[in-house]
Amino acid sequence: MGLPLEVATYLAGAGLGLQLGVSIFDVPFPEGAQDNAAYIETYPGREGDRTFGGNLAAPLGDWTSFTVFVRDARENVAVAETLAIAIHKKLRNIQGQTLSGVLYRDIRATAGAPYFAGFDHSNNRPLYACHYEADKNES
Amino acid sequence: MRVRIQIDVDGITDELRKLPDRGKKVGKEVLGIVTQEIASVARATAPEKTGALRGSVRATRPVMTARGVISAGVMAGGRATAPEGHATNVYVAVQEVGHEHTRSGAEVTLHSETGQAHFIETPAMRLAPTVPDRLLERLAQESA
Repeated sequence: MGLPLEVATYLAGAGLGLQLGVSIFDVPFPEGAQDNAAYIETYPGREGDRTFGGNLAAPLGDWTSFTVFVRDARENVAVAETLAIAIHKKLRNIQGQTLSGVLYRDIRATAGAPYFAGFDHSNNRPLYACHYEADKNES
Repeated sequence: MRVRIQIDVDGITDELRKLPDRGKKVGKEVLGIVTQEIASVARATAPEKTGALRGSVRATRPVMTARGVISAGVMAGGRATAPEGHATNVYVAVQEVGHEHTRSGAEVTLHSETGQAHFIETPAMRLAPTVPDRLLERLAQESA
């Protein structure tokens, strides 16, 4: 399990009405997914913190960068924004919390609150994005 | 033909120079993450005809020039879509520039109805202003 699935699983159980594999995904929106949905995408972040000791010791800290995308039908821009903000509030509160067995010391928004990113490539649905960095143990 | 949006940071290079090795590392690190963020939004909002354009969006490796400018970019098209043919690369440029009509006024048939024009420029304009603060914050962490 990696960060996308750990965070998606957490959000699915966070009381936001999201269901893993139905309205929240750990991969970009699958074909045929409902309009009101979110997904998490990771990309290379910064190098993990290492400890003194054996060369093969696991990094002490893993800094992973990720983006949460939220979309809805064209006429539901406000609903998409509301969900993006609700997710943002859940994620920014994570401190010293275990998600799917992995310790997350902190999750920080790197570029402020969720913002309107544009329209998606398939059905011109409004898309909101917010960027984060997680300070966590290795998954 | 390719499209490249580039972010150069030279306003706070004095701060970076105070920490020669770590400053360079931090500068590249922050720009590397910002360009990945831009690329992720660009991929999500790129117009789609065959998917080649969306698949070609990528962040370039941050470098520090001899003048001390850290430079990183986000690209679409070019070599990544070369096997798709010249028309695909023209499509890439048309979508990013957002031209819906030629100079003579004729409609460009490559115009896409999905996604959005300026799919790289828009997130770049949103995220580039966050770079100086993020650099200074990381430098402060490194200096602590």
